[in-house]
Amino acid sequence: MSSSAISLSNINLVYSNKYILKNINIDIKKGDCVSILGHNGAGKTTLFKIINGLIKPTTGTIEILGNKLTAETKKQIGYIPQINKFENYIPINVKQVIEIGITARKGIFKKLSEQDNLLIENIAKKLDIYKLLNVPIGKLSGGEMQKVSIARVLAQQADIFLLDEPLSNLDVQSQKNITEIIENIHSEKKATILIVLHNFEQKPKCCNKEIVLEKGELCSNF
Amino acid sequence: MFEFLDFFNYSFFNRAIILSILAGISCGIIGVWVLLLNIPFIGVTIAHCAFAGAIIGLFLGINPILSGFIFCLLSALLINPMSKRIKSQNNITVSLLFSFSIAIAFVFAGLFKEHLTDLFTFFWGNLLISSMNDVVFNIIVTAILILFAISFHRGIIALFFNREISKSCGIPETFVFTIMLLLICSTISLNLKSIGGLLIYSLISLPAATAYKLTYNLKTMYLLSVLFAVSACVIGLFISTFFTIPVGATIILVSCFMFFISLFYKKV
Repeated sequence: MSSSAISLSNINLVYSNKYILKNINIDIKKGDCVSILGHNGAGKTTLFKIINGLIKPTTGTIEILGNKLTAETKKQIGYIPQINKFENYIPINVKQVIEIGITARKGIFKKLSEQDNLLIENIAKKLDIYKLLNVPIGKLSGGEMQKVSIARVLAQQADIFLLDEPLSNLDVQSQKNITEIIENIHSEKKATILIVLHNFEQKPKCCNKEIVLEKGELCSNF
Repeated sequence: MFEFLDFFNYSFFNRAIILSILAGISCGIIGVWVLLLNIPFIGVTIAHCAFAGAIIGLFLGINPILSGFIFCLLSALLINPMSKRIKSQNNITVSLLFSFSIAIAFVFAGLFKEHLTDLFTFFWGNLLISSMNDVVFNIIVTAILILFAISFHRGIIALFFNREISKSCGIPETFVFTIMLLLICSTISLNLKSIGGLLIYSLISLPAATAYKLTYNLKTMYLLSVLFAVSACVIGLFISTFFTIPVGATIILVSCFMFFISLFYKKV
């Protein structure tokens, strides 16, 4: 069985004759917590979108947990985009958002079981959002919304977490809470976590690897 | 009053009532989709492409509902590839298709020398000239629509929340979205004759927007949207019959009135 969680080989992404990502080779082991740093436009978010299949690279191969990227392997990836990308005007509540994680895992036709409801409740209690389960997402603060997104990925029972700037646009207290949650997930679930960060100082303690991107190229990978 | 109630003795009026209820149900549901998928401009454009297709079909002697559906579907499927081709946001493609569809509809309309009544029916609709076939097709499409909305409910919620997230975690986002587009196109095409090509989009957008103004709950939004659309259709039909004014336009005016009333209520 492969010890590699994410393996990218010779990834190039060319758009309008310009390299967005150039010759990316990364091997992330299971249980690694990796911070991804770089300036605006360095290719951090694009790298995430290549890992989860939202963007097809011009060349190169992607392997997730030793397998090719398919709809089935995608279930192992929990993706949290930047907070301002959420459609919080949609009339759905916190529970319905967390249920999306279960939909991803079980498929769109399977009904929620008693066990699934229990899982949602437990996750919500753990992340301190139990009282918010019936609250519409349009009424949540940035920090609460970020917790709900993490709850969605926990309900998905994903092995790999892709967190795109999870601390951006949050107040200091919320940043601290979210960082603690990330550290707990890493220690308790032994999950593989990739975090895009703007600020090096925000790096959670559990990060054991660092990737620095500059203008689409890997500056350091250690 | 007695004379007004006499209308119920005529089969064409009873068919019109059934059709207005069906149109209300289907437009109420797809209105929620168009609003929550945040594709209002795509919605309005494919509605006008359907209108252009129907006018061309009428001119060429092809079934206008079928030609309307084909145009509607083609436009819906063309928007994304065209945007990629011209390297722009969807907005430019949508504006282009909208202008093209309106222009081509009016060019073909200008070529009509006879059957002008049929032509104008597709402009502002007439529920009162519907046939039994219209009713049967509407029942079938509305039933499929309801069945899809219920059985794909969890997938649809995921798409509403974020299409990118849905795709990234293996939810069949493209499949669900394509079926939604197909059903939106079918509903628009089938209601072209009864509501009118220039007005159908208003019946899709206004009741859903009114419902959205009133609730934070998705199920309630569906129910309110259908309720407002059905009420607008039935009330519009009665008012237009009573005052002998165009039925499609009256339905839209009733929808507008409902929306303005909703502005005075607080969302719960």
